[in-house]
Amino acid sequence: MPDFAIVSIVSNKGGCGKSMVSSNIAYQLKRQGVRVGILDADVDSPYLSEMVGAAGKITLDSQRRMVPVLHRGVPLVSFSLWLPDAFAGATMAGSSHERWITDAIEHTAWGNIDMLIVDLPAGTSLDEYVLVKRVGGKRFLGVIAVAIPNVPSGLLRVHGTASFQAIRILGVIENMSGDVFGRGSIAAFCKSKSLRFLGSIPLDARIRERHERHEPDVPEDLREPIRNAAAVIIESAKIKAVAR
Amino acid sequence: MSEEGIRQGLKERAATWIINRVAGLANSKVDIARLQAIHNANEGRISRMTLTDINKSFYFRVKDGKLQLLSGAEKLDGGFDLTVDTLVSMASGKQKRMDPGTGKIFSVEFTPIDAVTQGLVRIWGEAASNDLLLFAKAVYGSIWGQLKTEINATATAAANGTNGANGHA
Repeated sequence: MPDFAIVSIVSNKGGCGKSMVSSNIAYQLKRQGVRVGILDADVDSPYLSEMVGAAGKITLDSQRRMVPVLHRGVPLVSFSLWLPDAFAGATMAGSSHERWITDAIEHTAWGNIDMLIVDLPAGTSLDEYVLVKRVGGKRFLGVIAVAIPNVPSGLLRVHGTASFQAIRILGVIENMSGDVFGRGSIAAFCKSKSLRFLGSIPLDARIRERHERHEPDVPEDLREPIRNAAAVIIESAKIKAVAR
Repeated sequence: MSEEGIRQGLKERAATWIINRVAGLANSKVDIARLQAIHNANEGRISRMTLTDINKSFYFRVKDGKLQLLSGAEKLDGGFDLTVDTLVSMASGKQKRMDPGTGKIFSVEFTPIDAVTQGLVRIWGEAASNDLLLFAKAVYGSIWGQLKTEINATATAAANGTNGANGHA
């Protein structure tokens, strides 16, 4: 069992901003003094390392453990960094897929981290939800769900999967809220299910512009949901945060 | 013998030749003892490769600076399952594909990592991903060039009715 706490970031569909939220939560935790690592567990289409501009490749240490790429002071493992060459996509057999995620958690030299943020593949496949819970054991704290306001039913599926597997939803972030996709539906859903609503990140061109420059941080004035997520995680993990 | 039996026999023969050549080339071209020392791989973990379409397994381990083929194993640490076709594609470094628009067959480069990411190889066992990475980085690059050459020469020779590279047929 890992000696660090684990939180998964989930959404029922792709394109909700899961990788953006994952990296931002990790960087926020780091700013608050938490020793954190990131695992991009999206084997089919890993995007997080590209988004944050991480370069390099996963190597093996003297114990044959994976050595993460250190980017912005945060150890990062992604399938795209694990592969020796560039690749276009994977359709790995389920058991190989599970093996890779398990090895990435258990057989990686994460260093002295307190917390691992796992960016799960989109969807509500039980495999990944349950796998990370099983590998994390008692150190698995739960999930942060990311949802967009025009598809509140997606959150219903996340809620259903989590309930069925007794996985705690630590909180929900509404992403891309505004005139295009609407606003408010995710907060209303959270209220109806007694879930903790962490706030809305608006559909803001500054986020895209930053991503194009491989600067994943959400602008400071839009960061409240991220700060709330970090606070919930710290509270759940009972980590003593040290403000920097 | 039935046509199916002949096909199975040919597949087994091809697979056995490839496995033996991989072991031979790895032991002659790769400093396995050095890799063992660098990665603390001295425990002699036993892996099993199962060829699912002919229901045949090969057992091997890295020990005393050599890649050793075993006749069997009582305890397994991990392994991988694949078909003979996939093994041949990996060894020859080429995979045949069909253009869905024109129906034309063409070849693309193909590596063990491609085989895993395409779901054609199922890996299992503790830290199998780590071992696969070590194999791909430290062994594949050193032996596959020659293996590809030998296989392609053998295939060409077979098509021409002559002996292949080094007399392997």
